[in-house]
Amino acid sequence: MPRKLSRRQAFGLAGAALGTPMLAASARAQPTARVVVVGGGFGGVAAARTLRRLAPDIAVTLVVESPVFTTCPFSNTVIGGMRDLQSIQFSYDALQSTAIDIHVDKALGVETGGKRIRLASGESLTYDRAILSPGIDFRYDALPDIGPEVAEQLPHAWKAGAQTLLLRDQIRAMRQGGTIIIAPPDNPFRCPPGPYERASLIAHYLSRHNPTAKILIVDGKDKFSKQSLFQAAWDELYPGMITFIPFSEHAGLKSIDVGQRRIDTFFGSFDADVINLIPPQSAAKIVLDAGLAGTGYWCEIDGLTFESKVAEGVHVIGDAAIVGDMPKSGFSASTQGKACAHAVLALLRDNPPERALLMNTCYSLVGPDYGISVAGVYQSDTETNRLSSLPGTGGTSEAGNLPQLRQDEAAFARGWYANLTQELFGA
Amino acid sequence: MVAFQASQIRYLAFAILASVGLSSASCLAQDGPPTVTVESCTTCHGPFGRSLGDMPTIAGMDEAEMAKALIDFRAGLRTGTIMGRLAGAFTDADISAITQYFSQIEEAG
Repeated sequence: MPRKLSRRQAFGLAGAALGTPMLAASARAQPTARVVVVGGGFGGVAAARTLRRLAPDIAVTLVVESPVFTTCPFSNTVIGGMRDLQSIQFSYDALQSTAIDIHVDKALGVETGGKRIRLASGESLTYDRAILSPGIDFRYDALPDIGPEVAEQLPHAWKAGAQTLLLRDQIRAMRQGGTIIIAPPDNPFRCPPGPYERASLIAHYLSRHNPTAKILIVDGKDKFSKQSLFQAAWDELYPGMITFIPFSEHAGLKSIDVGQRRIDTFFGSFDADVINLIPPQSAAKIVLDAGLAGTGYWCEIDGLTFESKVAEGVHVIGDAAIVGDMPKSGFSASTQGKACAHAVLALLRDNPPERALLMNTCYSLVGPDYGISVAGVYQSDTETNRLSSLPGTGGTSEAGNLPQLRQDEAAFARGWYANLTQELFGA
Repeated sequence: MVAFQASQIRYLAFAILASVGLSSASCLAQDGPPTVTVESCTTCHGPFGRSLGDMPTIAGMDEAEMAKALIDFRAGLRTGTIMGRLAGAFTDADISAITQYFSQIEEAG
């Protein structure tokens, strides 16, 4: 049989050529360039690991805010009681051995002129190119008369961790027959199908422990991702439990009584026992402060290189950026991280970046054995470099009574999560 | 069991690809690191194409078999959950790059 490539040879051809494990650029006298990656989630880790693997001669630094990363994907399974929080938490230990210089610190500012990133510890990291994948922040100022402190009572659970447990525990403690409001924002926001997967998995929990409880989705929009698949599944699995109230039927949030758990809209009021208030969002503060979003809320980038349209040498990926037609998902961010690492390397080597196919699949669990998906393939067009959906590709799971397909997609959702988290955080 | 040499496998892949109208240029061996398109595959199929769970492992797949599967997905002749929705975007060169790359990786790490 032909000799096949080992793991190291397979993806680290440059490293394999040295005949030794990849050498840390920082351990060598002169790295040929310095790349600083900000963000320890799907985008940042994918970018750092890909670049490390492709280019042993480049110093790769990764700035992460916490020693443990809690994934937003699969956090709804924690809220629904299907998993514990530890099962969606990952350390960066395995990355230490890959010779990525990891700083557990908060990145405070990007000085695009001086090509420096300031950290909370006081340290300053200089870069030839920076890859920023800082995620989102919440725009509580877009909500009526409340601030970020309400998240302690009305959890957003849209950054996973303590907030995930807070929402889970409020639902567990709710009286029999109580009402949960999920209030998702208008587009664009992180994980477009997320609120509806959440409604589904909360319904799964309630159907076992609190079967007369209700879920109201008081939405900031009229339509949502995979809507017909979700609604068909709700009718089948949780009949009568979930009610979707589109924006046009309430016209927006007028006031929120935090203590009474009451939402007044322009067309009516809703009382609840638990409110999952998911605020409107923006790119994370660090990129807004650096002027990378201009006067808007998201960073405009070149779809071929992910380089910022306003700052040379700074690349923005993941939820913080508007990446053509790609949705804000962990899958998208990791794909963009890989593509951005290749593009940064090409630019540093004066090579043309690859006009690649970027893929995304958003799986949603409606129940433990009921999965649905939406997929897309994106490519930057040759005139504007905008990353656009390729016609004739992508789309949602087939509709209809297809129990085997739903079961397969639930299994693939779990398989995808296991594989991607292993690729990013595994040894 | 018949064991093929690398050159034979390459030839078989070429023959199958050629028989469905792919250009021979797309079958040239690729040197250097994987393309971004190739790297996209591992997001679902696992590091180096080695899957931990229910997603199929693609590392070590026979090159010709994998090419046929992707061509069939692209043509709508093979059903699956996701691949039919993605493979429509693949050019002959993409399929060639993907199959050459993953066929050369050992199935187990």
